[in-house]
Amino acid sequence: MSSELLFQQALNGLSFGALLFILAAGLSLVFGMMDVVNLAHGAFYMLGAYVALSVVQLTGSFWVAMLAAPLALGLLGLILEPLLLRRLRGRHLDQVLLTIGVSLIVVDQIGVVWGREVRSLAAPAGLDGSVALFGGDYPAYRLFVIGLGIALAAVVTLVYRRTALGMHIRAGVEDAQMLGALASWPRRCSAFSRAWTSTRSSIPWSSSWSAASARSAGRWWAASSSVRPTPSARCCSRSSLSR
Amino acid sequence: MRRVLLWASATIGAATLVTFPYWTAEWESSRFATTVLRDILVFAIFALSLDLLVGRAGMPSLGHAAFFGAGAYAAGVATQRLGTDQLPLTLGAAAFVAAALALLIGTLVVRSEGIFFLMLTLAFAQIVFAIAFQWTSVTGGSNGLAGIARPFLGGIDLNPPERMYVLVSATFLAVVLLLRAVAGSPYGRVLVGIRENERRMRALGYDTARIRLSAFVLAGSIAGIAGALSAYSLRFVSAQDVGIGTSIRAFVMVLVGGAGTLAGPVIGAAVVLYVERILSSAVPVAETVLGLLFVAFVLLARQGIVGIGGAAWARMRR
Amino acid sequence: MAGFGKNELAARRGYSYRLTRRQFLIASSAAALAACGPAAVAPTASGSPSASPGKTLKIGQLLPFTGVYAELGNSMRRATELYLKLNDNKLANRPVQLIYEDDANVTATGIQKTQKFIDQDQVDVMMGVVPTPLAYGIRNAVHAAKMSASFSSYQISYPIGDYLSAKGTKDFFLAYANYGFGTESAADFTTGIKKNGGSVTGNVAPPLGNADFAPFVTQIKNQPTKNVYSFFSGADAIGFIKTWNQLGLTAAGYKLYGAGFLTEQDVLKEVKDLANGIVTSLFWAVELDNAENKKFVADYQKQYPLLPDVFAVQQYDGMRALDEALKKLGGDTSDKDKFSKALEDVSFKSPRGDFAFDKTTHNPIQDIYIREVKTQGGQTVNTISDKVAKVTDPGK
Repeated sequence: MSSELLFQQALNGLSFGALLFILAAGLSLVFGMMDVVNLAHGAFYMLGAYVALSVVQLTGSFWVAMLAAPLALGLLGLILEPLLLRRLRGRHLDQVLLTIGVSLIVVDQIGVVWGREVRSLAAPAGLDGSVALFGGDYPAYRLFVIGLGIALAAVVTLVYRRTALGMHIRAGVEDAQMLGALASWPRRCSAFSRAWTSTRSSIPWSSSWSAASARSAGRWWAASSSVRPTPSARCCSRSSLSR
Repeated sequence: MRRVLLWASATIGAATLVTFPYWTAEWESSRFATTVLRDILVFAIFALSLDLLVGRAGMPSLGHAAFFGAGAYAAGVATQRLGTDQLPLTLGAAAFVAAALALLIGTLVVRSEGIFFLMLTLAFAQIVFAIAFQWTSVTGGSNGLAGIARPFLGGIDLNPPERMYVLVSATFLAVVLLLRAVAGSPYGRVLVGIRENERRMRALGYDTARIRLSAFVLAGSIAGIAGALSAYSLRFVSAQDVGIGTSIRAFVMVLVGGAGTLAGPVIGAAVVLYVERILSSAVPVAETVLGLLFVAFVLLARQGIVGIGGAAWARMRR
Repeated sequence: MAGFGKNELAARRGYSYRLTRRQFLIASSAAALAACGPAAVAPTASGSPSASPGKTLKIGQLLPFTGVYAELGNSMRRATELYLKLNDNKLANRPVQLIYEDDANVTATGIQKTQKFIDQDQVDVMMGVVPTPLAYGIRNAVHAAKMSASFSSYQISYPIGDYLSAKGTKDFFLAYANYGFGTESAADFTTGIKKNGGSVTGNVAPPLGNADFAPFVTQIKNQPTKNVYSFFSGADAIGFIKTWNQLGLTAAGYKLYGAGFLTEQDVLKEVKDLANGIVTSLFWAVELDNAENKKFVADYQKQYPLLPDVFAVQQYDGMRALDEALKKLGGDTSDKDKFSKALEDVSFKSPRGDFAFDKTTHNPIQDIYIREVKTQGGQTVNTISDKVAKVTDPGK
């Protein structure tokens, strides 16, 4: 294997890895902080892509969709968490079953609303070209995804370690009851982190500008995928980096 | 007296079930009803085996289709490749292969619990799926195994649909009796004990990991038998039989019908197959209906249809 | 599944294994026609009570309306309805009743719905059957007469291999989806180029439904063979073509060839001019210049706001074949053997050119077109650059 090939494949791996990181970060946040196992994460990811697709068709702007998709999914999280998940606190098995149900509904309804053919979106102007790097050109969009992954990691770490909010979240993970006794935080906090994580899950879709494809996202995959980032990326992001 | 009456009605019920295609032979849709009922019973066996884990032993497996598929493939391969068509051999092969696979996977997963058990079983089932999909020379890969011949029992050809149905329904009754016996036995009680409080059972001297493993293997081999019956019924096996979709369907059946009961998984199988096979002809969103069932039963009726029915019965008697 | 043709057990039961493996390799599509009768149950059953002229002809359409092939099912449904609309909702003077069932791309469901067609609806004819495993799965249930209005992997991939190597392009690198039909296509293409002294220098085989094509395309870019033959369809095709362009393979002098699905409408409408220059082979293209096709495309577009695709053509031809066979019998479907024979003998001018069935394989004998993607007047289309006449499947 030549050094150029090695370098290019490393970049391929990094950019795909960054996408998976963005996806997995949301999942682990909900599990780690709220103790909720969300098997509908992959379905939300897919939904984010379709919202982005519609926003682009309406406004023609990648960057508007980049804001709109996370907000829309965040809103959905804010509605679903108190409605469905709050009463299942600590009951992992029930959470799993419930979120499988949610993912079945979401995926099927996406097919009804957006149709079942394969869709895709182009990278925005400025990111659709290539950048000259050691060993040849490399797509700018993939580099952008790497950058976004690193930026998100930095922001999350900062919020988690350095801010009052992060402190409360950490405290909540340690002992939610105690935190509740000390202040009225946890409720708001968990709703917040729920919304936040559900927002997060939609970022890769919108950011990757990717193909929204109910057709490709095998229905059952969408259910299984969310637990395991790799296959979820497999079903949903097949296009995310390539488009 | 009451006991005798109960036994008599159960026997009559069983006989009615097994002879269904014969006493409905005059109906216009007898044949279609027979195949639908046959498939319901196949899945009822599968769901019952999962319920032994979920409802009885508290082991929520999301990879149970691995054993269903292993049984189906074993029966198919035994018939097509090894050239045997005797039911005891092919069905035995299915039960054995499924049990061996369950022993292998079970050894690795029985020490984990709850959500971790769930994820591990799911992961192992996905591995089995990948093998089934890729190992083209044995499993037919993405094309599956088609044209599986139905077996003989001695000199009796089980190919005609009504005989196939009798085989399925008789096996179903045998499985129900077996699981009923297990539930009532000391072994069944130990399983429930482990589900409720594993540490106490360990303190009492039970080798809980081993007992859980034995339940896992038993459930796996019954699932394998269901898989073999499915292979005979449809004359077809594909990787979809091993996939997560099949595992989830079995779980919906247990959940909707009611876990921890004998009637629950059977009712659940009927409901799910009704939605998938019959309702889907009329409504294009069967998947959404299944999803809504999931959500509704988790939130509102965790005990399933049997639970709702039992509660209503209790209220009526008051 | 080598060897099930000589399955003795099956022979003992009298199952028909006359049909060969290849003709049922119908990748993402088939407009298979099957004269229905519960053959596996009672081969002599004379079918449904409605099987006589003048009465309603019941056609069961087994198509995927949900799942991976959903769009394909919709397309075939549109073609069916178009054909009937243009023929006053009658075939051979019999009013037609269509019954649609969704197989959801789950074989077990498809088998069950086939059973429903036969036992419950008592249809005279069954059509559809898209996924390959399903075609395998239902063949015990339907009467032996099955006609495929589609294609085999051989018919698509062998002729272009033969054609290209005869023209002097001999060395190829292969890229194909790693599943049944993809692997078969690669093998058939290889046979084609080897016939004229060509060779395969290497291959990549991403799994079906691959997530990221960059590693595979990077591998192609780092090997010297400039001509690449591929088999991908649907979402995989879109991902592959986009990545191919992102990583600048065209600019680096690489040329992409493929089986026609690589550049069918579902793919072209998403990748547009990124596909320019790709050379593929298929038995039809929107741009095909013949009277039947012009009329078909115009009729289709009058009825629906989109271009027809290859699956619509197959279904349209399937309906036409059924129509022709029925006309010959005066609309009488009661004798299944006569009906099968009539179907076998059908021949007519189809949008794809001359259409007839091969008597032994029941696959169509058809011209295969070599097509190149070009953007003309703002539309990206498959232009016809050549044709390989009368390709039949050897039916091994």
